[in-house]
Amino acid sequence: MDLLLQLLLEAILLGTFYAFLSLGFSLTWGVLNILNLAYGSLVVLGSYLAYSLFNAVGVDPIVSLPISFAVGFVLGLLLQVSFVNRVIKLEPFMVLILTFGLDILISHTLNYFFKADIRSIDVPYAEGSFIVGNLIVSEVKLLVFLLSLILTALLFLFLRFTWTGRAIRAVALDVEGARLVGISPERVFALTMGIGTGVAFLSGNLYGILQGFTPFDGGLLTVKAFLVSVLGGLGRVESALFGGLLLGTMEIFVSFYAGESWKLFASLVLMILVLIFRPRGLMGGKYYGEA
Amino acid sequence: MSGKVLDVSDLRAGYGDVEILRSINLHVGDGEIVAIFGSNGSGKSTFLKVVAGLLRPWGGSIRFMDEHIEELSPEERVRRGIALAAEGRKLFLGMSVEENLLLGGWIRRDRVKENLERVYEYFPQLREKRRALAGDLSGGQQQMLSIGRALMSEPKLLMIDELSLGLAPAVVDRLAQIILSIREREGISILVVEQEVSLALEISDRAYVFDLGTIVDEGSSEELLRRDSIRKTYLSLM
Repeated sequence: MDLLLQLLLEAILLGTFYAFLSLGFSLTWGVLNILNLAYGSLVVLGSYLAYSLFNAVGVDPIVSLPISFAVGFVLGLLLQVSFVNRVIKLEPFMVLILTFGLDILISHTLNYFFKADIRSIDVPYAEGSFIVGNLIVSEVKLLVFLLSLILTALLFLFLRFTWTGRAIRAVALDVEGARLVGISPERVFALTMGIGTGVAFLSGNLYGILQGFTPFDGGLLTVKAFLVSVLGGLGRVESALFGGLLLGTMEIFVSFYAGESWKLFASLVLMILVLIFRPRGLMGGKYYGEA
Repeated sequence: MSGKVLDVSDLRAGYGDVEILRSINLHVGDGEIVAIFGSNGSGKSTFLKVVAGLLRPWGGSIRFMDEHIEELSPEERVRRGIALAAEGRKLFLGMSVEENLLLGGWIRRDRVKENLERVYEYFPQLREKRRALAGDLSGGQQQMLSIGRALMSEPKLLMIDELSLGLAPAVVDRLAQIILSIREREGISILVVEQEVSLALEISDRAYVFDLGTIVDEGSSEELLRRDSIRKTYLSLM
């Protein structure tokens, strides 16, 4: 029983991080209708940014969160304006090629500067763990869980209750309808890409706190973001939370009972089953517009 | 101002290679209600789309408040005072009624509270349903929401596509009343596309008859209502 509770705790802590990780990916998917294959590499770029700020300048990895978001936001905006807007009018396939190329560019550039060694950001105030009842709680996992939860809630409130958030959801639901009320979809696209990349950088910052990373972690992180989006259903912040917890649970239990190497295999099997039987995701929401 | 809110001359437009509108000349005066009717595929809805900026014209001119607007984006046209309650409504079906209305006020965010109250006065049903999803409304309620959303931008010209399409007669009567009272209270111009000729002529001051992308008849609504050709072709009266 204690073991089961311990595994569930781990699943919740990890799953909430996965939920936040996937939000930037599913937001750009839902609003711009593009699959950003460079997403995971953008996350890793965020990890190296937080790492560099911490090691070179001594910026605390929690203090660096707003910086991560700002840098990611500007980068996303630039990417959208300079590349994606030019390509998005062509076939969707071209966007895949573009982001795939970007993925390679980012990971190899990081490899050039940082080498393939595993790096990590060691938070001095969250190195140990404590015991509640019979459960062992790792401080660093708890920290990342709490930050993920707060950031997810902020994004939810932003999309739900601000004018800009409403405009983003409006464009996701009906581009022509948005034009008819005076919203410029092109601006919303750029803004969404900015926010999506900002979230990628924030996730990267958290990822760096949570575990060691290398320049080539991006591919796997993209797969995880994709999995969460598909499992939960593209659409709402709540769906991502559901998908994230599902993936987290899956990974923790499969790793424990079958072994670490079965983790990805099991996730992919689950994804294929969902795509076959519930292609709109288990929660079945539609894009970011729905209430 | 010339007294014309909208002045369109020699307008041509189409999709791909297919010309839908050939040489349309039409104007809407200040505070006027103008109706467009005609058979299916005559280009009525296409015309509204071109004026709203959703479709680029091939040639001709569109002046709004004496200024050329052919090159402006739809968003900019909304800002200038053109609002379209579109065919198929183009509502945000996954959002609540109130959120749809709030978004209608995107360019008048400073006055959104007053405007919301004003729209609810015209359409009390929308107030009752304000938390419901737009997608769960009846056809008539969706049409109300579409017109209400357009009003939220404080337009000078309100365009309504297919006012009565698919709606029950009682709902249509109600909408007609509301449109007349909107004109009376707001003093805005209204351009309405309507299949039902008797309704179109009943609520409008003037009307244009579209056929195959051209205007085949026009005049004051009273006069058109008496004209034999109109009575025979569109009203099935002798």
